[in-house]
Amino acid sequence: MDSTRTPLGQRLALDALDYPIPALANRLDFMLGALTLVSLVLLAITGIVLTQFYNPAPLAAHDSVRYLITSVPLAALLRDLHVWSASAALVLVFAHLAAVFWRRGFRNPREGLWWSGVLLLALLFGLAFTGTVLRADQEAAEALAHATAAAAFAGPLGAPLRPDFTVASPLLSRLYGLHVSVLPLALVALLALHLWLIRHLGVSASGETQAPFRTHLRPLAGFAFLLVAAVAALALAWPAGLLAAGVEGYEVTKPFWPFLWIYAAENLFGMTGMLLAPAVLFGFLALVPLADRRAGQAATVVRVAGIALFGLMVAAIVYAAVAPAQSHLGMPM
Amino acid sequence: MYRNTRRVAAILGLLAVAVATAWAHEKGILKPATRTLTAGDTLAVAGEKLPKRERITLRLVGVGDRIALDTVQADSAGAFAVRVLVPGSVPPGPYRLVAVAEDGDEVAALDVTVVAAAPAADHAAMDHPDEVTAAGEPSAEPLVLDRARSAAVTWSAVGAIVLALGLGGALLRRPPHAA
Repeated sequence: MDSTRTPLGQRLALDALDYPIPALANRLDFMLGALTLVSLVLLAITGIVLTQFYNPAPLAAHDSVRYLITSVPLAALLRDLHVWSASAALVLVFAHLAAVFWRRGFRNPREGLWWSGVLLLALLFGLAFTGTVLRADQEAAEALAHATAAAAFAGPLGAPLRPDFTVASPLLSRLYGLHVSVLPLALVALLALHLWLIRHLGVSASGETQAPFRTHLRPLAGFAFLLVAAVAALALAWPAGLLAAGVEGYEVTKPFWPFLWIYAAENLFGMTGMLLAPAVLFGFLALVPLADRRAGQAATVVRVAGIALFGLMVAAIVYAAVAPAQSHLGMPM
Repeated sequence: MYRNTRRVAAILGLLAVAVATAWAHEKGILKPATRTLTAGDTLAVAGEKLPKRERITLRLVGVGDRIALDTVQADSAGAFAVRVLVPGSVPPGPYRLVAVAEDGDEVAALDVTVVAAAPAADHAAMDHPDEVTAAGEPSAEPLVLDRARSAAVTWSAVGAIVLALGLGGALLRRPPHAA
């Protein structure tokens, strides 16, 4: 029996899911954004549990993470799931970005969709950074040192990221507030816009054959279950670690892998590289819909530049992962 | 007839609760000489209303630590009196002094505070001496932690993974219907 015609289906207005989409959209490469959303839901659920055990006071934060790992089995597993879900979200969002870029899903009238996606990417990086800092271990201390150095460089704009911004609340506690409320709220708002635009502008898939959106949900659910199984298996097999409590004034670690391309730029160009690398990436992404409007030479240049930039990022991550650790802020190693 | 049945069921339920309560450990009492413990000092501790003639383990439980102090034998009245050594390596801070029975149940607990015996020259080294190398230098190596493990949690996770794999495979086997 058609589920939209059951009493429950009628009350939940499930027939609203029967709007037509290109049948081609039932492929995996059209589901990467939705799978990123599944990862974000995993992050939210595990994160809510973790807030019950985490203490954002600077002198207690590291101990609270250590206590969670050594004393609460379920919370320790959820922490591992949280960390692996973060990696999954970042891998999937870049895969989604690449897929949309390749099929030119940013062209008129989908420029707003693209730009909202770029902002979502920036928010994901912000969440990954603040999440790293909350561990209060050595890697966290060094990440914070880099951020405050960049904040000092940014002048008044960087004031909230400086330890002396207010005496009422330590910087770690303020970043905790960002991680659990401000950034997730901004993410939800942008996601709502992103999904609204997808619904009303349609998926950028070609082909005459149409299918009800409801048929998209079955394979999507299948891939979502596989994603959850994969992330959970990784969490069980390779639990997330913790370094010793952070000692300020030293640089002995490397950052979380999504930031290694920035670390590589710092290795090569110092502080300038740390600021320039994200500016180049997000600047390029912002200009893509303006530079590639129709078929032609500009479109080819944008495509080649995008592929080159993506390749450079991957190469930079690999280089930074294998290269010896370097000091960037004049601190001893 | 139906009302009588409900009354009987309610009475049986109350009896079951009473029996279960009786079977559970009665809450014991711990009486340390002081509730401010000094790391490195000995502490006189007395206990009452504990499981009779059972071996009781005394522990300090903190946010980052779980420290065994001593194991004592309760007498026929469920009491004991002992002097325990508070290890000098215990970090200062709030703790719970707990008494654990042979079956693993916590039978008594009390909030205490541990204070340092002498001013700490190197706070980091005193808290977790395994983490800081010579002269307070940090390390990039992950901590070797005694991770909390639970067979129930692990096997539930394995079960959830298998279930998710099965559901994912089943949903992907049939292609979606085209319009």
